Amino acid sequence: MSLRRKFLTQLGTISLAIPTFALAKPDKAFAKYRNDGSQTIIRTRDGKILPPPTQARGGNYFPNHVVYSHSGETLRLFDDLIRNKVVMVNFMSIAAHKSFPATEHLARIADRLGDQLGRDVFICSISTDPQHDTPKKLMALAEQYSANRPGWHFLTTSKNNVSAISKRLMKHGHHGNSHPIRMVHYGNGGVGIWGAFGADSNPDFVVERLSWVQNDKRVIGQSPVLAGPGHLKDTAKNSHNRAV
Amino acid sequence: MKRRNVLKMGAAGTGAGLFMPRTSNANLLYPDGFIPSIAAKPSPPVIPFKDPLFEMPVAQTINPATLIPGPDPASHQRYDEFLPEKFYIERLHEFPWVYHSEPPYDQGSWSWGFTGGGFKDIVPGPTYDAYYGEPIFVRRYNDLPAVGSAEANVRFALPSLTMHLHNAHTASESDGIPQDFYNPGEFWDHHYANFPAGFDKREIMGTLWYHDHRLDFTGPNVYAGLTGMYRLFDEQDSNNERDRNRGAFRLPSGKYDVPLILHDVQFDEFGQVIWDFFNPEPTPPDKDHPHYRAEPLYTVNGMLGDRFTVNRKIQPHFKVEARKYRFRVLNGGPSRFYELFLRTENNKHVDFFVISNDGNLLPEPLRRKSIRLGVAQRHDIIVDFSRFRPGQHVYLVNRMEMRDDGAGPTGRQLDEGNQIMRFDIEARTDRDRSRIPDFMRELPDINMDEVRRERLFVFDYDNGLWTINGKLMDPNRVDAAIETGTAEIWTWRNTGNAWSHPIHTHFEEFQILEINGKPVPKNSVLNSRKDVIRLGPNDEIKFFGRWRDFLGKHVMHCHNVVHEDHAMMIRWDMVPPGKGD
Repeated sequence: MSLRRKFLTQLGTISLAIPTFALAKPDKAFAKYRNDGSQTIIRTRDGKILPPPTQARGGNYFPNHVVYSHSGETLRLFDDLIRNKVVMVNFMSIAAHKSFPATEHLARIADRLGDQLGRDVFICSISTDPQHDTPKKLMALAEQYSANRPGWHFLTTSKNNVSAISKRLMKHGHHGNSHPIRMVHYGNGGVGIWGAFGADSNPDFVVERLSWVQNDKRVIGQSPVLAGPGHLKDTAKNSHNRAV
Repeated sequence: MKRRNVLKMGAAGTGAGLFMPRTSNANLLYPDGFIPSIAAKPSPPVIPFKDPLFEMPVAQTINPATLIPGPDPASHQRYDEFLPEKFYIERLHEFPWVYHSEPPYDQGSWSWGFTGGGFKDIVPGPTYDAYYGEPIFVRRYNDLPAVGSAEANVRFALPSLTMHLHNAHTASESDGIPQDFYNPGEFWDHHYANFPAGFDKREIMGTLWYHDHRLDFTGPNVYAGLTGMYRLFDEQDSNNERDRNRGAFRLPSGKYDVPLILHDVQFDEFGQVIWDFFNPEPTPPDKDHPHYRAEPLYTVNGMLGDRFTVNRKIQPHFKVEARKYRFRVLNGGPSRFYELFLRTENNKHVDFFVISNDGNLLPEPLRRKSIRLGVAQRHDIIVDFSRFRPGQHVYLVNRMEMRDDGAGPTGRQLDEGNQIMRFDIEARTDRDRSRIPDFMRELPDINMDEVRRERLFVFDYDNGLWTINGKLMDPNRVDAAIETGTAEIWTWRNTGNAWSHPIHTHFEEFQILEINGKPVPKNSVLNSRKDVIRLGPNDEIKFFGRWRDFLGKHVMHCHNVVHEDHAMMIRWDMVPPGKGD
């Protein structure tokens, strides 16, 4: 099979794997089969054919490996923990906590999230050291940092799976499993938008960040609202110039 | 020309490196066994130079009485002193933009773009023609679909915006700093006072651009379409090549003054723009592979596209008359660096005159064969096509090779290079009255007596995040409190031995004192007022700058927008005398 041919086939698989994206709003949606047998969903608005949205492949693709949580659940990484969720994802290991207590930092964020955690926002802390970090030990770690809370999953899986997951989600460092990882991904798995911050960032500001990527439920009125700048006397002491 | 040859010329990134072993297969540019995304998952091919260049319309004023509510002077520093004389609006919204007329691009690529006075559904945005001494007011409405909306088609960008006018001497509240965002259904007012820094005519600028600057999401938001040009004129650079005023430079003007905004973009098989936030760990070097091997779409180090666009058209052609043109060339990012040449069909390089650096006219024009542009950098160049006959072609070519992961140039020069666009020469319609002046703007004095303090900023990397002095961007933390009305000396040091950073600081221009301990060579384009520096591996530069005229919050950051979004930014404030750090 030629490289390009193979590439198209792979594409087809991925576009089939994310079938929900195109069924939104437009007045009509129907499937069209391409020459290679894969499927494209065609959407129309006012009788006009619309291009498919972005992120049909690539940007919002995640491995869907089986993972085991500290509370004894068997889960699928994408289906159960990322799809249609606002989530923070970090890589960690129990050993690395000696030099960088990632869980302690994230617990401060969890404190501020309160009951939003488990309802609007979730955390996946994926161990890079599955040989040592058993679900039982991860439970002990969670207890140690008051991190055994609804919506926060400490995850372990096979070495191959964690390698595949970290090959997709960025995990840096080639210094073995004890190397600390500061980076935390945050994003909206239902949309495909993702950012990152340092685990030791200001936890209040992390909560604000999480609000940016949540599905925006505000009702937008007819009259546009001034976001800024606000009055100079009000904004001078703020970290921004917004009126709101 | 045979189609195969056309495709070959249009193929991106296939030129073999000048110092690489030559092989018959151009794709062997990469280490053995490694296939970067632009080779493994290339964008659908196009016939290059088929479509015309998109020339952005000039923004037209609107009646200020239609602004409801009206502008609020209490929200802008020095508003009454610089009362706006012209008013504009932009509506930022989503629509399909046609990057190329062939399938699959012909159905349009979902983009974020602009509608307003004199322009509708365009990417890039309109060109503003502003004049010193003529303050303007721009209201920008966010009409994008909200996050998670069923209407949203651009799914990789955050529909929460802040528009920065890059290079401008603009007060914090109008500058478009990363934390000044407005969400769908909201708007922001920008007051551009259009006066030179310190009221010093030597600080007059010319080529500015505007772009989104949203905290954590600048890369995807700019990539989605939010860029445009802002030309700033004065009595010398007067937008009139027939100006009878004795002091006027008479640079090519009107339709002969053309902005060229370069973006490299990657597309999926449906012709939709791809942005991938994630990237796998690179494979470290081993005995068989001397370099780190990247994986496809490696976006924490940088985002490279394989389709070269100019004003958001893939490899366009542009019909030019056999006369002089002023091109305002901007590298709009996200991550690629360019070295741009003009080349004839016979592979001869064409000389041109560089007249500006970072948008600021030089003391005198410099004759060159190439210009180098890091992200956000601009050079104005004058090209004289009068030596060509109608029917001949000149190509704009990039010869800088980038690391496959986008983190910076390799240091090698491409032989064949990437074809960016083609100029098609036609007969002149009228006498060319434009000039290339002997002298332009002299540089402001560097006076060490004004220096209040020096600062050192070290640029480094920390496990997927990019740091300045070991820290990550926090808009709640002031990393430098600069007293307004003073000068400082800053040192920027790149401790990375493989990656490069185009570092930019807002609001004020600066002049380089030293590059790696040595003064700037004579006759260098770096003898100029700057706002972006390309810091190569282990480079250290020292510069002198003044901070004046306003108070408030600003930023300095890496303009490889992927590095910027991964926290390579500081907040600095301008504070009253006596309150500095």
